[in-house]
Amino acid sequence: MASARKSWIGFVFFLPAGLFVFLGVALPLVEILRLAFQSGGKSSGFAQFSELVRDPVLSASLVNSLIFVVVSVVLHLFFGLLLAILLNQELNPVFIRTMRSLFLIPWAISPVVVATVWRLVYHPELSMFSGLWKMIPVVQQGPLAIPSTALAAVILINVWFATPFYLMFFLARLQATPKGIYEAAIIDGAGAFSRFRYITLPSLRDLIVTLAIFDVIAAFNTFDLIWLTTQGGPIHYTEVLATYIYKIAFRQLDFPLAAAAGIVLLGCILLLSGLIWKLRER
Amino acid sequence: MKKSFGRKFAYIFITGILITYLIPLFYIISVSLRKVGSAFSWDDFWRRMTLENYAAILGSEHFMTYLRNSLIVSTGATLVCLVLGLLAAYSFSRLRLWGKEGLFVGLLSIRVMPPVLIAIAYFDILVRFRLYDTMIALILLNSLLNMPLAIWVLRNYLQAVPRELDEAAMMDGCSRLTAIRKILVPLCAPGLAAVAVQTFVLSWNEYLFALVFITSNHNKPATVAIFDFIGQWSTNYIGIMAFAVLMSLPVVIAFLAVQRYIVKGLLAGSDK
Repeated sequence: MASARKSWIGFVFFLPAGLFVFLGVALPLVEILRLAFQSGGKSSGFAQFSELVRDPVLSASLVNSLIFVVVSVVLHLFFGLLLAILLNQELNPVFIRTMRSLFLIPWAISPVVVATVWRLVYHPELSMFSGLWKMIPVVQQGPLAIPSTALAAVILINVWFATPFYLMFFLARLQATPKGIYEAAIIDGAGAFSRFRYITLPSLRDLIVTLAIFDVIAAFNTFDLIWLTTQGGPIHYTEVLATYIYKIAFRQLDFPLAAAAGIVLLGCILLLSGLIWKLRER
Repeated sequence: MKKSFGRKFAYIFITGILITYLIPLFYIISVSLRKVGSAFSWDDFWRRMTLENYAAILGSEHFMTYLRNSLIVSTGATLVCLVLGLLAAYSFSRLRLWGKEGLFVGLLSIRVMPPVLIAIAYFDILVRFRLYDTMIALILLNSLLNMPLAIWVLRNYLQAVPRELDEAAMMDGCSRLTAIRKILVPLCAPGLAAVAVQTFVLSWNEYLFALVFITSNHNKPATVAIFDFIGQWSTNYIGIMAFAVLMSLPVVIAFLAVQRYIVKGLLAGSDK
């Protein structure tokens, strides 16, 4: 009796957030499926998908998205952990706290501002590095305008922007690790590398998996940084699924086709994060 | 002796990396201090440094409108996430509820929905309900995106408060809502602050929804309005940079002030 009453109250308390689950997941999902599989006139339910497959830009943006995501995730975790280890030394705590805060600044800035800043940094004439761009014949028009460097240049922006987020988590976890384990290992004669390999890394494994999955989702959905620097250009060399879908939906106003492409994006996200999750269990 | 040298080196090394890392920021601040129309060279920069770009932007009525819109959208989303998030987090941590685990996973899975798909799915709906080109639409969509993390963080903070505390208050005759307000809210203040700032900053910085759903100038938040400055002042990078610095300053300060609690709230649950 008492538990039934409790359950009822719990439901009332949950109702607002439950409504958000409905609004945030169920409703958009149904709407996207409806749009993607709707059969206008004579065409079959898969018309959207067969049109997509015939579009070479889809495969280009699929490949670019995968490169963008994998490289971003690996570099975020690598540099995040590296900086965290660097800041986890026994130094003046005020110094460490100040440094940590300053390192976090790029993450707190809007991607809109980040994109604008880097457009200037990559600018062939106005950049402080314009001398450097001029020295290297390939990038005279600035790295964002050159097919061979544009994707790398965009990835670098994302690495610069989001690494602090991962640094923040690694550092918090490292600082919570008891120092005694390391002291015992030093007494047993373990070097710096084996301390990292056999103590630090295993204790961070679950956190690394969680952050990697979070970043896969975030990187696949990165729109603003790319849209505001290259708009997917030059000639689709930085086109990713997010910008591709945006263009189809809000430039060509073809919602059914965009929804079909959206299912491809959703599939990629689920597949890659599922893969990372599976790797964890091994 | 050897150790102290190593330490000195560590201080210099870390500071060096930080300065290199933040070069783009120093650069835009220096650009924003230049005179409009002056060349982008370092020759007598220090002598010709000026705050007139900032004065011009702060004095313009447009800028204040954009800033006000950003403020309305972010505050609205923050309030929604705080109130509804706290209620949901309370039910997850304190009440027995059938299918709780499933609902919780469902809630977190909002994060997996690509925002561009949410924009497509909501386009017709928002038009039909006459919410297209209103700030209410942005408040709604931003709350939607930030709700999962808000509930996650608040649940972790509530979990850390012993149940006996609020149960004792209810025994003494407090209603459930009073117990939440008088006992749990003060004890979870850092968590609430963390959620508030996190939601505020992410809504303030949000671009895609504002780009898709806002068309009229008087409803634009700062993130989409900044590019009006390109048109307005031709290719005036100097003006844009001053705008960028001004719109970033408040959220950077707020974020740095509470980052410790954000990490604490997000990490607490993943220990298990």
